[in-house]
Amino acid sequence: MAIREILEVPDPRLKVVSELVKDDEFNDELKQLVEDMFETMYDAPGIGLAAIQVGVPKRVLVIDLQPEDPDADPIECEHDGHKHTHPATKKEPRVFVNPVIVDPAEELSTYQEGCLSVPEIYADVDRPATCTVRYQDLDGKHHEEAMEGLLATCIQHEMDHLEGILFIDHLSRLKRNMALKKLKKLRQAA
Amino acid sequence: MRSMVEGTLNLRRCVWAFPSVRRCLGIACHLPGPGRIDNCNPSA
Repeated sequence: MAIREILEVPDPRLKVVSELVKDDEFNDELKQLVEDMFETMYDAPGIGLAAIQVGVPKRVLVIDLQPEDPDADPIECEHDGHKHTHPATKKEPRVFVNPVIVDPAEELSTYQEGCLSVPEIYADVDRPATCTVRYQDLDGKHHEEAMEGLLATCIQHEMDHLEGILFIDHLSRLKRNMALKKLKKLRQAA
Repeated sequence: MRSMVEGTLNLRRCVWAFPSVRRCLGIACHLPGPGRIDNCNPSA
């Protein structure tokens, strides 16, 4: 396993349309890519990552919403002398190869999204509240799954990456420019 | 994707919700900037 470099805006590779994973590409190389993507995502940290974000233009996504684990002890945390606890979370890794969205809902839901390729920027994005996704697993087996809530939002966010679309592309030009300006300032200050 | 939604990984860390106050409200992450205060249980 290895942590790979995450591409950040304005890297032109993030605008590339990713290619389908062919039948003969469900192999150890694909499994290695997915392992590395998970390690990279957890390290970032994030809840979803598309292969193109690590420079591989293949239609592969990993997602782990890492929900709270009510059975685990809270995690103690201390930041600048401030002691507190956080709920423990559990891992629920998901892999989606060649995902396709069918019947997205007309009803929209809004989530405050961020992106590992657009660091430090968060914005509300409207997306279909539910959708059904057809995809393949790492063995090439086909699946179909109805999704809602954060999972529906996250997979739509990641699938945008496969088309070269970033979440900031859903914002108005004014808001997008403000976000990019803020990012530029943060980078200059770093 | 990163998310500020309650219950996700990015909320495990604490945030300086209001940098001018410089008080950890125990939220999203240790990064400066706005965040939410709905997922942390300050113990001190």
